[in-house]
Amino acid sequence: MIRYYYYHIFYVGMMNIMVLVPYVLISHRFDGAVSSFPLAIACGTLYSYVTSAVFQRFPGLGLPEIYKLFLPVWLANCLNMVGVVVWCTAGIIVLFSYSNTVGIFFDPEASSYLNLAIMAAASLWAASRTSRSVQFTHEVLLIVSTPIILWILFKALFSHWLDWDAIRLVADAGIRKPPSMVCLFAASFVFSGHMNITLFNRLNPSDLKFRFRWIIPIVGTFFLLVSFFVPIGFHGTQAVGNYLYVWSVTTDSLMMKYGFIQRVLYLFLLLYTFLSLVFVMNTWHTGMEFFKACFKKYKPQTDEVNVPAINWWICGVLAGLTFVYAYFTNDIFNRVAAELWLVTRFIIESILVMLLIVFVVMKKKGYMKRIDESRSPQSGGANR
Amino acid sequence: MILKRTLLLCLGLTMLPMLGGCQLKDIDKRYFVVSAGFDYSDNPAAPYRVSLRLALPSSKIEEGGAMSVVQTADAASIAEAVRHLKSTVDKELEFGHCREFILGRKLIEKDGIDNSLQWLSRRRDIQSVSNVMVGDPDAYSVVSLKPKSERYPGNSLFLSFGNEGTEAANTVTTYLFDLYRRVYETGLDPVLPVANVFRDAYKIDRAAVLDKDKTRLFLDSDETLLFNMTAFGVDNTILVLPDKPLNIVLAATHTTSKINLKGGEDPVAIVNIRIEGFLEQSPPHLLEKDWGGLERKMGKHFSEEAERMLYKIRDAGVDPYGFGLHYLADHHNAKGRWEKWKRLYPEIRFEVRANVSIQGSGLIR
Repeated sequence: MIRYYYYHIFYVGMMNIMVLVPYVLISHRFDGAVSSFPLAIACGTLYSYVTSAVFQRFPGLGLPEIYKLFLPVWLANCLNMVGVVVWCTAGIIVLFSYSNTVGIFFDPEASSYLNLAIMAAASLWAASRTSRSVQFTHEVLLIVSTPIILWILFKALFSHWLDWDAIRLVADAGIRKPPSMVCLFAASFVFSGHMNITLFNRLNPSDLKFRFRWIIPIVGTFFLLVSFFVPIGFHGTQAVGNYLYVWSVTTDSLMMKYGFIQRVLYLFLLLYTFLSLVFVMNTWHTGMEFFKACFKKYKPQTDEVNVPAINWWICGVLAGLTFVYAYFTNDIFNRVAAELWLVTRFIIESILVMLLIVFVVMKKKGYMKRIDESRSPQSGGANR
Repeated sequence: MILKRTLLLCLGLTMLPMLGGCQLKDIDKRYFVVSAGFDYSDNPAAPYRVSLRLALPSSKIEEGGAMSVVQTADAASIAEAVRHLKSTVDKELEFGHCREFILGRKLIEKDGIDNSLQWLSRRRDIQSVSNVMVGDPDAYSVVSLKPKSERYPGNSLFLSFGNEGTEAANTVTTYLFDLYRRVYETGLDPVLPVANVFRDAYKIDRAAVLDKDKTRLFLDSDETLLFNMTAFGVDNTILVLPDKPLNIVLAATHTTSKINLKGGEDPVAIVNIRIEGFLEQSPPHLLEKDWGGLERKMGKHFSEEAERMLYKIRDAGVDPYGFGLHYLADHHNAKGRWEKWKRLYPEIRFEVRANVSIQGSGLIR
């Protein structure tokens, strides 16, 4: 089912707001943000084409299984652990910054741990399900929230308070500067929805063709440009740098005059609750599966009836880690952590893409450590 | 086993709503602030006077049924004054519904808007779409007015702005986020509506143009109308052509304006404006005589008036239109363009090209 692949592309495109991508880009708006966009678009598109092409050749196999085919066990396990760290920290950062945003705008008086506890409980429960359930939950939440998020984006885009002079000024000034690396790393996040295939390829039937891939650059470019330029249009070239949660302030500048809630912000935050939960669910679930793949006895199961206890334990630990992180961190550190994560993610993604190409070559030449025990697609609603 | 787990789960779920009770004050322990005014008191130790209008909830909703109280406190800063105010009321202050902030005329003439803006933009419960205005002669008189027509406390003031209630042609609407952007932006200056009390009602028909901090210029009612049409393209305005024996009045239903900047040695700012409407008042059979001529005459009259207003704004050294920003956006990345613009702006010429089109005589025959 090709649509599950594009769900990931779509929601990561929208999620960039919560990983502080617009904040990073806007803080570099006069030195290299805009000129790094073409590079980011090229990189992101190329990477998603490569990963999807490679995974098409390994139907039904997740990344841990592919590692096992070509690499010695210890190396495969190391790489799995790298995956665990990258995926899980993403979830933790998003969970923290989201509960913080909610605390700031929804209910400033309540303890931020309360918000975190509720969200962490939901994420824990959702992430510990089977891959198939996660995929379905993802679909439902995304179908509910995407139209309204797009509506808000277009409302902002066509608002007459949007100052096109400011946008032109930044675009003009920015495109003439040499691109900045941090901005390239941050901007390419918008395109990295394809990375979720590393796990969810397990659910793909063997005859899946990745069609309509031209959608990826279009969707990514749209979300990238909107999430960077619309706040600039609303807050001007200078004042926009004074905000950390740029998009929350931007949606607060919109009004639903005839809606039953006037502040668009509340609707926006509610929708981003869904998206953040989806993001945390996906990242933690992927991290969990990667971790489990390190054990010898582990057999990838995507449609288990009973959730194994280990799932609860791993996700419980992750939720606990989020609390530890929330205890020791603050807004400034979280900003740095998000930036660091964006950089690391890009580097690891690049390494992975190269590794995948190597695997394809190895498969062609027949250098395989183990035999490809071509797994029959597991039973599940999506295949039928 | 299953039963026990289900029971436990149910118990857990029923406990969950109790979490909402933690650290949250009930609505009946809150005072909703509906408008806030900042004034400059003449006491140097406590220069800021904050007046808050607090809504008293009532069971009946009818015109004139809105009840509210006004509280005032003086302090060295706005944040401190609000803290002091808390000790004079019995409930927690809630700013989430406050959409009107009135800055006293004396405050922004003497102290500037910076202090007020810093407080406003830091409070997270204050909406970015709040209306900010200047209170003339002071904010307190605007805050403490209780119009008879109000259904809810405070709603008559914000209905005056935007086009929520009345669509007044010479009311400038400035939202908080817009004010904040204009204060920081190079080449774009803030403009605020001026509200005063007039016979048990608000009169908001003038505008104050500010440099980055203090007021430089007050536009009168007619100039505000022209400004509104040329800068924001506000619809539903009027266009008057003085004539004998009767002024000819065009009710403009649709206005679009576009600014075109020609730099170089002899810089010209061209404001293209298109006004459509019908005649609301005119001597009989005027249109039959010379339809096109009347349109041209009205356009010429409008251009002259608008140009006079533009020169007045230019000579005050402010730029609420954003000509400067427009210039910067046009002249890419040339070095020293901002300095060049600062040299150019005092000598810039304005050309208003008004295209008036009369849709009908307005008569029903």
